[in-house]
Amino acid sequence: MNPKEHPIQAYLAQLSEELRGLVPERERVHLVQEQLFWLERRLRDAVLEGTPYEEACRKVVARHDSPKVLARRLAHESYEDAIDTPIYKLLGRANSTAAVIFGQANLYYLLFLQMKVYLPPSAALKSSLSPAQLREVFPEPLPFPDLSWWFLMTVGFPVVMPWVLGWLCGRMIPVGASSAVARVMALIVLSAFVLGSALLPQVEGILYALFLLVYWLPVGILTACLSSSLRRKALRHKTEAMDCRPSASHASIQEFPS
Amino acid sequence: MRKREGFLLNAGPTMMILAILRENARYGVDIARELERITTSELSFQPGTLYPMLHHLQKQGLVTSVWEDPEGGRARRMYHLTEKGRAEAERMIGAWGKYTRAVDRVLQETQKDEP
Repeated sequence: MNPKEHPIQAYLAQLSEELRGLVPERERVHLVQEQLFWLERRLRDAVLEGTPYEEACRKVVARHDSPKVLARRLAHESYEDAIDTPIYKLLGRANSTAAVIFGQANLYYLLFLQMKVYLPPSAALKSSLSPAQLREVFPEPLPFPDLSWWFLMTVGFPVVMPWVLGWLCGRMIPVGASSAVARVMALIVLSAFVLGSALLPQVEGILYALFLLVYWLPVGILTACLSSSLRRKALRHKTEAMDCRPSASHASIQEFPS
Repeated sequence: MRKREGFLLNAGPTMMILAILRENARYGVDIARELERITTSELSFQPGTLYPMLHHLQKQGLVTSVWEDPEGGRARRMYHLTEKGRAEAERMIGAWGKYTRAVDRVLQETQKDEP
């Protein structure tokens, strides 16, 4: 059988490609070799059972997980193991990262809302522009814009932040970012119903929690998914460029005895 | 069912891995092959399922693994059960035995009552 057309060889090449950039190079070689070892044992079993060699090769590969699925799971393990701390061990590195990013932003916003609701109106910070200066930018009949820092923070922060935070999570978690964000946001939304109602007037509290549910949750997941996918591509390209150097070959996994 | 035994419903695959490793240290593929041999291929593990489970068990301190990197270029991890893992396996298997015996009794009793 031509090595290039060998199903196991093709499978391993695809798996290696999927893992590129997601795990350190030495680990990538080891993980691919481990799958080669797995497939060879399966192949030997199938041949001993009397299946013709070529058919056995195809069957063994067909029964194995797809390279994409397997690469994601192996890369996720590698990501989780890369840093060993008690908190990462308990909650998982991806979950902890998403929790810190989204949790902090929510905590700050909740504190800010409390100040906005309970501080006397005279204490509000105003922008340095006078009403006349504002009218130069927003002429009548446009509504008079309230460009105070309070207004910008109250409206701008919750609208912009899930995009920024989701993006940040995707950059920091190359595999499984969207599911980590989903898990963390589900907890934050649940706690927001309790904390929002306890720390804010009831209507504002419930509106805050509903806003997290219908806007932050889907936008955060979507952005994290997009961002991590782009991150994976970037990592792959970066490693491909490094592979051009003669030292980075994987000769050992190219040799499959047929 | 007592609350502390509710874990049994989701514990099957974990328990099978611990039980297989209780006999000997094994490679991932050999855990899958052993499971298939014992269950005559009724149950099987794919690597995408098995390795994350082993990883989870490692995080819990029930299993350890060592990379072996022989000359021929077939690196693989050998999985061992820790003392904690052995104790957990015994506990789970004991609870599982009680649970399945109770379920069996219910099934047998209700079968008798059928016309």
